[in-house]
Amino acid sequence: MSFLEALSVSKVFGGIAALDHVDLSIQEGEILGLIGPNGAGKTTLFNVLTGLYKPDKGEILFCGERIDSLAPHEIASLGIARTFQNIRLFPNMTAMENVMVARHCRTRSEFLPTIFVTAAFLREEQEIQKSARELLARVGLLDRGNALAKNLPYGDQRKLEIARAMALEPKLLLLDEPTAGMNAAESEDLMRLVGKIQERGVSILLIEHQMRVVMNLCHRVAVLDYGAKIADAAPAEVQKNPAVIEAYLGSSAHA
Amino acid sequence: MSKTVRRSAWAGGLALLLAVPCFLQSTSFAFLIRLAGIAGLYMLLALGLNLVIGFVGLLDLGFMAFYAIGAYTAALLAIHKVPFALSVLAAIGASTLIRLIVGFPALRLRGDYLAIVTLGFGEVVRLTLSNWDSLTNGPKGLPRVGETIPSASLMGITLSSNLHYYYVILASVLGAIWVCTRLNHSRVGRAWVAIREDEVAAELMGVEVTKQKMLAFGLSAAFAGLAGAIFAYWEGFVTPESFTFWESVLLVCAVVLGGMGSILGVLLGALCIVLAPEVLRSALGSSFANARYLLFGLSLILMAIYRPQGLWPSRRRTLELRPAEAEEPPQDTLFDAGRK
Repeated sequence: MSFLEALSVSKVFGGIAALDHVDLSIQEGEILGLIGPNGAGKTTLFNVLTGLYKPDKGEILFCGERIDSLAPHEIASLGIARTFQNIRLFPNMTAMENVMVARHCRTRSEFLPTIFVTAAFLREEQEIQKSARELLARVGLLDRGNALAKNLPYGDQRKLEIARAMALEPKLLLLDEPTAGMNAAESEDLMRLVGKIQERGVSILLIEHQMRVVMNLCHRVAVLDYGAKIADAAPAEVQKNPAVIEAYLGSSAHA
Repeated sequence: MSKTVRRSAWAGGLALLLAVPCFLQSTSFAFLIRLAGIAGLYMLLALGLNLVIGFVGLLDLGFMAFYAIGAYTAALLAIHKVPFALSVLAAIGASTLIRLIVGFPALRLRGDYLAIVTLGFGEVVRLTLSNWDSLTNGPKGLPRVGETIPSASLMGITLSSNLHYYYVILASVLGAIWVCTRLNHSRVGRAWVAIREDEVAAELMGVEVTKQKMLAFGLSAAFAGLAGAIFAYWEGFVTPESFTFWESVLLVCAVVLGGMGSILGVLLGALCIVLAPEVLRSALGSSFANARYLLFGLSLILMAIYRPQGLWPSRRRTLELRPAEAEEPPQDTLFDAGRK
């Protein structure tokens, strides 16, 4: 059985189908690429999977459980984390704190232990800091840990977003154009990072425009066009698929 | 500044706050004790409001409503001879409960819309207090003729002078500062600031946004309820006139002026709004006491232009980045290139 399964998911905005009966399944440990022209519904699918939008039709199953009626934070605590196309860090918090916030649903200290400074609270706070340090070290940002997120250079902000998402201990990581605006060396770095995350047993759904990244990294590629899935196969096959070529380049009759 | 220096600064400041009023009491500066008490009440209110505006980032323009609910609850109970401690607790409970009932639907709104709802609720409370004659005696206030609010007594001591109330208020403010400081750098406080910074991202990173907003909302009202109850006993008299929209606006001023999210900042801001009319009165004559609204308007404009972060801006805490001795450094970094 699939790890994450979207069954015939539709989402309509003002009469326009942003997602049109999309079926998508992700196997455990897989890197699935999601490509498609601008406005094809890729980010909408992310928003539906993470609970930000409720699907109008269809079901979403994660580890065999219906998640399409859950609140976003409940889905996050089940183990789906994401990054954003246009970076959404907490700008006036430090890099450390950005990562620490994402430990929220993996920790428990509530109001009373906090104000009475119980031993359990102090222990948990140490744990939060320790895991935040580890994650920052993993993405090479430990020395910038006390810098405000908004003051980090663009590439570091992207890395910090991934570190923050990883702090949730996700089983599935959704990356929305992680290499957008990066140069070749930086994308190279990022691909290596994604590969290493996958080696740790995290499944990855990746929206990406750079074909080089998609072809090298993904085990399988799904293609969306006008909200409908038009292909779902190994990268090499997708590359040759006439429907995909038409979606990207237009049909030969017009060319 | 090292930890010892900071600790001794705190201890010294506290000793001054405890000792100085004792000596002032018999001098011609005794009025300062009362002024400090009033400043303390405003500090409690500003600290409470700061939880909502400064931490969670929700604009609240009707905060005085919960001060009023606290004050009237305490006054009504006091008239019926309920002991001080009990009626203070009841006042805190009533403010918090009503805040949560209002907050539950209102917190679905964001930004300006929430501000309008809070403003509206503030007016509803004031108008209710002015018109519910059978309970609140309307604009004439409580207690009615023939009733009194008895002197409060706490642990066998009857609170009879301004000095007594000064100490009660000092203890409350210190307690409030403690709560705010503990929260500021904790799991809960970080979640609140994350909501302020980006509500959607916070929710997607696993923060139960609605629950956390309710917690902040309720706690802020508890501060206001406490302040209101102390006010009611101290004055021995409450009228709806004390809880106008302008008072709520002044509190927002205190928070913005001092520095949103900054605990020392809002204490400073509260001090400013209490001292300003006194300073104006002595500098320009009594007809200028109300010029404070003009002054605050002007200072807010100037602050917005030249110092939007406030007089004493909040700073995020610097954390230890070197791993502790026992911690093993991560075996493999996920990025090896680029950062050497």
